[in-house]
Amino acid sequence: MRQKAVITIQEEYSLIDQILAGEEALYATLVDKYKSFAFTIALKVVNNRAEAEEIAQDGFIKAFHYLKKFNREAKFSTWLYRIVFNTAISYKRKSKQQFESIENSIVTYSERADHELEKDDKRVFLSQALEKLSEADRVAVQLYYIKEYSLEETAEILGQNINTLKVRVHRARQRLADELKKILKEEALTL
Amino acid sequence: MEKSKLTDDELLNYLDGMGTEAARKALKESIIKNSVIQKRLKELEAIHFFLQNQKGLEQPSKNFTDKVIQRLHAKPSFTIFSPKNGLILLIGLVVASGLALILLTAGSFDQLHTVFNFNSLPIKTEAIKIPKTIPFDVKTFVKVFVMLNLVIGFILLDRTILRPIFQRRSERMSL
Repeated sequence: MRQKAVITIQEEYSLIDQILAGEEALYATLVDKYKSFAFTIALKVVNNRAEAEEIAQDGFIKAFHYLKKFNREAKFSTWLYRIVFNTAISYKRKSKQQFESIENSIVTYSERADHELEKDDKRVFLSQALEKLSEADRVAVQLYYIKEYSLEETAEILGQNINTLKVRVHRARQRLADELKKILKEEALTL
Repeated sequence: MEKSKLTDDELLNYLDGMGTEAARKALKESIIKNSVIQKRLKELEAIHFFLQNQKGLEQPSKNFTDKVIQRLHAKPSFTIFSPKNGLILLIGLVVASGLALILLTAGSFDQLHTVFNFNSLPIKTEAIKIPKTIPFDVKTFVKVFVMLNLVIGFILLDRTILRPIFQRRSERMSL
């Protein structure tokens, strides 16, 4: 029987001690508690549910194997999410190298298709504009808007300075606003 | 240029609900007075609402936890070689083995054999017993090379191409 997912930090530390002492099945409690955000982080990076699931699982497995090295200076969740984020980034880099040419052709096609079918839908354009942002800016702004963690914690998860994160979030929104402005201008011209 | 950047930052902080009450009030007044800033605020506001309405926390599959626990002691699913690199290496091994086999069947190595002679070595062979001569047949060496290549080729095929493909397929089907 799994323990209840709502546990305090102290209970979490004692749970980690028990896991390190050999009660590996208790790790399920930690997985249950943090799986949603871990999966969300991976999904925001790779944008594919099956791959995100695999990455999040790998992140949890890596965290389990490095549990002895968790020094408890930061929260377990922050430490775990950073592992998941790094796993997702390295996976994305690997698959980007492999499938870059295929991806490019798909994007070109979908852009054209969306343009033909949903010309007036700003959401579609903004979603596409979001995809055009740099990986770091896109993930930063998306995690910021989930509002699950504070700006400080989000910065720690992403391995960035808090000021860098603030700049990324501002810059991402500015770029999206500029992109929207461009779209509206083009729409006005085609009327 | 710098001024407009600063204004954007202030407007974004305003949308995020940051700043003191007095500062927010002052900013609101300057927005009302300036139609350019009003327009920019609307653009940024559209982005703010778009991002706010994005999906929040996503849920993984129902058996996510069980899969993690099952895989705790399994090997990681990502191998050192990517499928592409694995395939390139595999093709290289097949080509090298193929060439070696062609040369072998053509009889190119039939005359290539020699004998390593240790008689002239300036060491005393009383302490360590080493044979005085060792025959070396290049044909046998090439055969061993081809066999080793084939074994490595099969391992590569399994680890970097087949296993990841079937693993991903089964995981996608179970989602």
